[in-house]
Amino acid sequence: MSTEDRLELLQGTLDLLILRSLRRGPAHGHAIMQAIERRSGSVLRVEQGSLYPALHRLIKRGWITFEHGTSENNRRAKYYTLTAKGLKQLAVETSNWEKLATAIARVLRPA
Amino acid sequence: MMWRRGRALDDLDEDIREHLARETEENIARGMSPQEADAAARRAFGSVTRTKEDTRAIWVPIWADQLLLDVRYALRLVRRSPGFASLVVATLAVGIGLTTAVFSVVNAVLLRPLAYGAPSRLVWIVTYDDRVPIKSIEVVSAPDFVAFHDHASTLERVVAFFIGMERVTAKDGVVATRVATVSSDFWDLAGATPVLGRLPTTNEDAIVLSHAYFERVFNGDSSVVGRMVTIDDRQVLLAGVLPRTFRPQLPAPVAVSLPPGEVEAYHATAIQPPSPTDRSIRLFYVIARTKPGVNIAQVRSELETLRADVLRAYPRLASAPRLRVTPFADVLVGHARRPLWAMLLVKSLWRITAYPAGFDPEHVLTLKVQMSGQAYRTPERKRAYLAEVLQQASAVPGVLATGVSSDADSRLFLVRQDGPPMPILDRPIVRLNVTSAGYAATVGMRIVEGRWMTDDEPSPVYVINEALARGE
Repeated sequence: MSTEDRLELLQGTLDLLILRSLRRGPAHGHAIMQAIERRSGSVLRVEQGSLYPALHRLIKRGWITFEHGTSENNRRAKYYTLTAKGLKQLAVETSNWEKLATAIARVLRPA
Repeated sequence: MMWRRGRALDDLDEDIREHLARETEENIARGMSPQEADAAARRAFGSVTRTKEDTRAIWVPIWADQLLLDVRYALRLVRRSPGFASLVVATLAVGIGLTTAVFSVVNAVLLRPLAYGAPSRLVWIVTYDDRVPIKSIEVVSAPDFVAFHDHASTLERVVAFFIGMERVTAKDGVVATRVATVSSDFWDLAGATPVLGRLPTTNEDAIVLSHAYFERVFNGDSSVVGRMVTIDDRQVLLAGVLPRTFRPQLPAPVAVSLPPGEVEAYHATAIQPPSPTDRSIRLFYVIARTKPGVNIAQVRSELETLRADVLRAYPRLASAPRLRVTPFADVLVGHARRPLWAMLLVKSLWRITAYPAGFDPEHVLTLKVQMSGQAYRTPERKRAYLAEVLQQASAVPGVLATGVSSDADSRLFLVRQDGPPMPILDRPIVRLNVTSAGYAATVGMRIVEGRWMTDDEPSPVYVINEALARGE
C-alpha cells in the first residue's frame, strides 16, 4: 500500500490502540507499532517517534507496565504489559470510541 | 526471560536503538541495502532527539510541580523563621533529587540567611508615588536620606546604596564590574572587615573589592591594595579586599537592567544634601537598623515628620508623596518570589541538566569576543583578528579543536522553491549562526547527513538542523 493511502492517527487514539494491542500479551515497542499497522490492514500509520511518549504516558497512568527480557533472537528488549487497571481502561476507551464513531457515522450519513 | 525492573526512563535510549535496529533489519529483509535500510528506519522514526524530549517531558511535571509546591511552602516558612525553612527546603530539594547546580540557585536566591547582624531590626525604606497609574520606582532621594541619617532617633544605622555596572581598568584591560555604591554606615551595618587593606574613611573616594573579584581580575595580587584604580575614567583608591565569606544581600535595582551576579566592588560615597536650588537629584535604596525595642510604626511616624521638614526645605523637589517601611527579610524574599523568575530559572536549569543537547558540552570552553573601535572597522580586520585568536588558541597544549561562531542573532526568511509564493510575514524565520570550519568539531556537533563547512567556500554554504530538515 502506498503512503498516500495511509491515514494519520487521530489525536488520542494511539493510547487506545496500544492498550488494545497489548491485550494479546506483552510486546516491545516495534512490535506494538507493527501490530497496529497490520491489524488496520496497513491503513493506519503510527508515527514511530510518538509511540514512546505514549507508552510512557500509559506507564505513568498505571495502565501498562514494563519488564526487560530477551527477544526471539536473543536480544535485549523492553516488554510492555497491560495492567489490570489498563484492561479496565481499555474497556472504557473502547466503549467511548464506539459511541464516538457511531455518532460521527450518523452525522455523516446521507439524510 | 524477564530479568530486571527499573525506572521507566532508565533505558529509553536503548529502547529506541532497539526499535531502529528492528526496523532496519526488516527493511533489509525487504531488499534494501543496509545503508538504505538504516536511513529509511530513521526517516520512519522521525527525530530521535525530539522523541526523547517528548518522552522525558511526560515525567517532568511531577518533579517540577512538586518543587514549585515545596518552594511556595518554604517561602511561607522563611517569613516566619528563616533558619528552619532553609533546613526544610534543603532537605526537600536534596530529597527530590535535584542537581547541585539547581540547588545552589535556590540557595543563593531564596535560602541564604540574612548576612547582617541583628537581622530582625533591619528595615527597608522606600518612597513612592501612588498618584500615577504605573508603578513608580521605589527609592529614597538624597535629601530624605540625609534627613533620616542625621536626625532619625528611632534608627541606629541608615545606609544608602545603589548597584550598577561600571568599567574598572585592570592589567588585562577594561572589566565590566558590578559595583555597589554605598554610604558610610554600610560597613558597620553589613559587618564588613577587610582581609587586606582597610575600609574607606568617611568622605574618601575609595573602593573595596569582593574576594572572588580580587582573585579573578587582579589575580589575588595584594600589591594593588593601596594603589589607585580607574573606574569609569576616574581615579579611585583601592582601599581593601573583603573576606570570601562577605556576601551581603543587596536587592538589585528593578528599574535598571543588570546581569545577574554578586556585587564585585563596593564604592564608598559621601551623600550630601543638594543645594535647595539644585534640581538634579540622587536616588538610592535605603536599609536601616532600628534601635532595640523600636517598632516599625514608630519608625514610620518619625520619618514622615522628617520628610515634612525636607519638603519645606526643598519646595521644588519632585518628591514622592508616600513612604513605606518594611522588614528587610520580607523584601529579600519578595524580590526572589515576585516575578517567579527564580522558579523559571530552576526549571530551565533542570531542563538543561535533564535533556541531551544537540552537541557535547563536556570539555568545551567558551570566550566571548567583542570588537569595537577604529582598529576593527572593516570585516577584513575582524577576520584577521579572529584568525589570530583561533590560531593562538589551537597552539595551547591540550586544545583539541577551536572554532568561532556568531551569537545566532541573525534571522533568515525561508522560501520554498517548490512551494507557492508566500507573503513575507508568513514565511518561516530561522536563526542563522555564522561559524568557522572548526566549530562543529569543537562543540561536538554530530553531522547526520552531508558535510560541515570549510573556511573558504566559493559560495555561501548552509548546514541545517534536523528540525528544519523535517520542515518544522
